[in-house]
Parts: sequence; structure tokens; C-alpha cells
Amino acid sequence: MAVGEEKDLRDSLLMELRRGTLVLSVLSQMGTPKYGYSLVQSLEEKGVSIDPNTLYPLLRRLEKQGLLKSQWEMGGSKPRKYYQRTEYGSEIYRELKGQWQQLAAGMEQLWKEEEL
Amino acid sequence: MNKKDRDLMERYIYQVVRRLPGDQRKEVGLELEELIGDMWEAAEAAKETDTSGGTSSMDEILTKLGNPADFAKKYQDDTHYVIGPEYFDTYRWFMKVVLVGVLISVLVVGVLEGFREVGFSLNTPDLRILARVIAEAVADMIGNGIVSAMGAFGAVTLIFALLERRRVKLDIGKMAKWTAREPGDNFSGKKAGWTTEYLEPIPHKKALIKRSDSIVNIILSVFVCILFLLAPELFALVSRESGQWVTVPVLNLAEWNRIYPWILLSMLFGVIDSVVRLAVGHYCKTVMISGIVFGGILQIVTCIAALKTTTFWNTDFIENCRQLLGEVFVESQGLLAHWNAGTITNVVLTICLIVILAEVAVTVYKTLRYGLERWEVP
Repeated sequence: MAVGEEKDLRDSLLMELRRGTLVLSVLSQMGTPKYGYSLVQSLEEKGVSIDPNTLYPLLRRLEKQGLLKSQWEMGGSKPRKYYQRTEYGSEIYRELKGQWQQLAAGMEQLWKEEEL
Repeated sequence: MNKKDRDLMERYIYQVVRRLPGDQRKEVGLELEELIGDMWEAAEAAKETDTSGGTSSMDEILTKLGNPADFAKKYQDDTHYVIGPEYFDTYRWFMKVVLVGVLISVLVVGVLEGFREVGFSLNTPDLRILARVIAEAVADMIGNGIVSAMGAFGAVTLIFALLERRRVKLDIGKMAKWTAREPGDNFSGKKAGWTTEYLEPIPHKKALIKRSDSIVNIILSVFVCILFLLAPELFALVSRESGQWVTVPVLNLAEWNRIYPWILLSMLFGVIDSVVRLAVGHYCKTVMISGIVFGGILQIVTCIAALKTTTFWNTDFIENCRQLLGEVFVESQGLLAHWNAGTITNVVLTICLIVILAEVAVTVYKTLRYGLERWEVP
């Protein structure tokens, strides 16, 4: 395989792996109202980087699906749109988190067996 | 933010939102203005602590956000297909059948037309004229082939695009809520929560509809459409009078532009019915309803409209026959008595109604007899 192709493959596999965790990462931060860029920064500080051009469309989609609600704040220096989890969003978040923990435990088991 | 940076930002936002549906543009524009503004402020703050200088913050920010077209794509639903993966295989297969039908039809009509023209040119035997007539017939055939294939391509794509739109709507309606226990594919809400209840009973052997029947129906419909479009003059009384071939058109070619759409519509309804049969594959409620509506009612309405609301037959037929073939011929065939009394219209209409109703009756009978019961798996 050519060097370029190998890099493409690696990038696309990594992207697929990350994509699966995005919704859970975002939902985890939305217990309190946050605006888009503050979410980018807070996720980055915690070691989860997300491109703004992925996050903003994702926020809108989650809102459309009823997992988030939004409100424009017009009081500050410029209008800001704050997002927060809805009740349904919190319910889904808990379910996803549970699934994630099971998945992580399962993966852990797989690594262990590999080491043996 | 200076004027140049603001200008760049506005251009970028414009390039994203112009690709989005109208109702989203304003809000996404505001969101992007907020985002780029925040990123710019953060970059400026970082610059103050960084002495290396470098390029404008706005350049870097917009480059980081990437191509506006890609950004806009991420805002769009995954369901924005003209023809989605679910229908694509059927679409491709159906397109092949229709295009083959079109090409065969054009070929057959072209050859018939060619023979007719050659027949006429034999009245004045001259090889150069003959060669020209043949060359013209071949050129016509190629031209008609291209135009008809393009028309058929458009019509088939339109039918499937409509199907796709209806189905997509249904799917979204069904799966309004997404849950982690029933994860869908990439949150589009499709293919979620399948259970064995979705397994339909195996249809009765006698309820199965042969694929070939539907294909033959579709190809015949395409053939009729093309024949009536390209060569309505082929429907003519042909006679050899004193060594020359003469023809008298049976159809009203002067009004053909008003008559043809009814024929096209009638064939279209027939094709829709065939597509439903093909897609479902066995007699059931859906096929029965489609058979009654598209194969029955709408076909009858279009047949009546074509034959009764237009002057379908050549009004000068008798006169033309008299001129070309002589009074004796007209008398001998008894044409005069039947032509003007609308007898032909009534006979043709009756035949059409009998065929249509017979087909509807078969569909209803087979559905009620075999289509609604469950065939036990041995």
C-alpha cells in the first residue's frame, strides 16, 4: 500500500472511531447551558478535540432530535446561542453512558485476553 | 475586527448558508458569526502572548474551518437523496428494462418507417433517392433513439425520486424518537428497532406475480408510447393503386398534439401499476389498490378522455379514401356507414374497457383468493 493510501486509511479509521464517541462527549457537557465555542474549548481542555465544523451541525441535529434545546441570549456583546440537554436528552445520555461502560469493560476484557 | 477580516468572515458565512435550505440560512448565519467571532477573539488573545506575529487570525480561522461547501454538507440531512441506496438497485435495474424497451421500440418503429419511406420511393425508382431515404431513416432512428432515451431516463428518475421522497417521509414519521437501545444508522432514524414481527408471511405460490409479466407490460407500454409519438402515421389504410403505394391515415394527425398526452398518461398509469407489482412481487392489498386505482379507474378515465373528448380519428378519412381509392372501395368496405357514427370509437373503447376490467378482476380475485391468507411453511 502506498504511503498516502495508508495515511488515508488510518485517518478514516480514526475518524470512524471518534465519530462514535462524539454524541456521548457532547451530551456529557450539556447538563448546564453552553454556547458552541465554549463547548469546543471545554472538550479540548479535557483531551477530547472536536472540529467546530463538526460540532455546530451536530448541535443542530441533536436539537432537531429533541436531545438538546437552545436559546438565544441577546444581552451580551453579541448574540449567543446556548444549548442545554432536555429531559429526553438526559435520559438518552444515561442510556448511552451505560452502554459505553459495558462496551469499555468488554474491550478491556479483550485486551486482557490478548495479553495472556 | 477590521473591515477586511469582517468582509472575509461575511464571505465565508455567505458561502456556507447559500448551500442550505432557505429556512435555516438566517439562524445558521448567526451561529457562524458567533463562532467565528469567538474563535477570532481567542486567536487575538493568544497573539498578545505570542510575539512571533504571523498571518492574520481570520485567515487561519477560516482555513481551519475548511471549505465552506464541506461545512454546509455537514448541516444537511443524510436523507437528501434523489434516489437513495434503498431504491437504487431497483432503480438501476428498472432503468435498464425501460431503456432496452425504448431502444427496441425506436428500432422497430424506425425500421417500419424506413420500409414505408422506401416503399414510397420505389414509386419513382432512382437509386440516389433510395440511398437518401435510407440514410434519412437511419439518421432519424439515431436521433429518435437519443431523444427517447433521454426522455425515458428523466421519467424513470422522476418516478423513483417521488417514491424516495414519500418513503423517506414515512420513515421519519415512524421513528420520531431515537433510543440508545435501538441504535439507528448514524442517527438518520432509519432501520431502527427491527423485530421478527416485521417478517411478513411467505406469500401463497399462486399469489406470486411473475417478474417477466411486469417487464413485458412495461416494455409494451414504452413501445406503444414511442410508436404513437414517433409514427402515428403508421396507423393507416395502405393500398396499391395502379402500381403505386398509397396510404390514408386512420388517426387525426392534425390534432395529435392534444390526443397524445392522454395516451402517454394512460401508459404512465399502467407503468406505475406494473412497478408496484414488480416491487411487491405478490398479490396483496397494496397491489390490489394500485391495480384498481392506477390499472383500473385512471386508465378508464384516460381512455374515455382520449377517445371521447378529442377527435381521435381522421375526420377526412372517407374523403381521402374516395380521392385515393375510389367510391367503389369505400362502398365495398362499408366504411361510410360506420366511420362517422362513432362506431369505431365505441368498439375500441369497449375493447379497452373489457381488457382493463378483466385485468382488475383478475387482480382482485387473486388477491382475495390467495393474497390475504398465510401460506404455512412446510
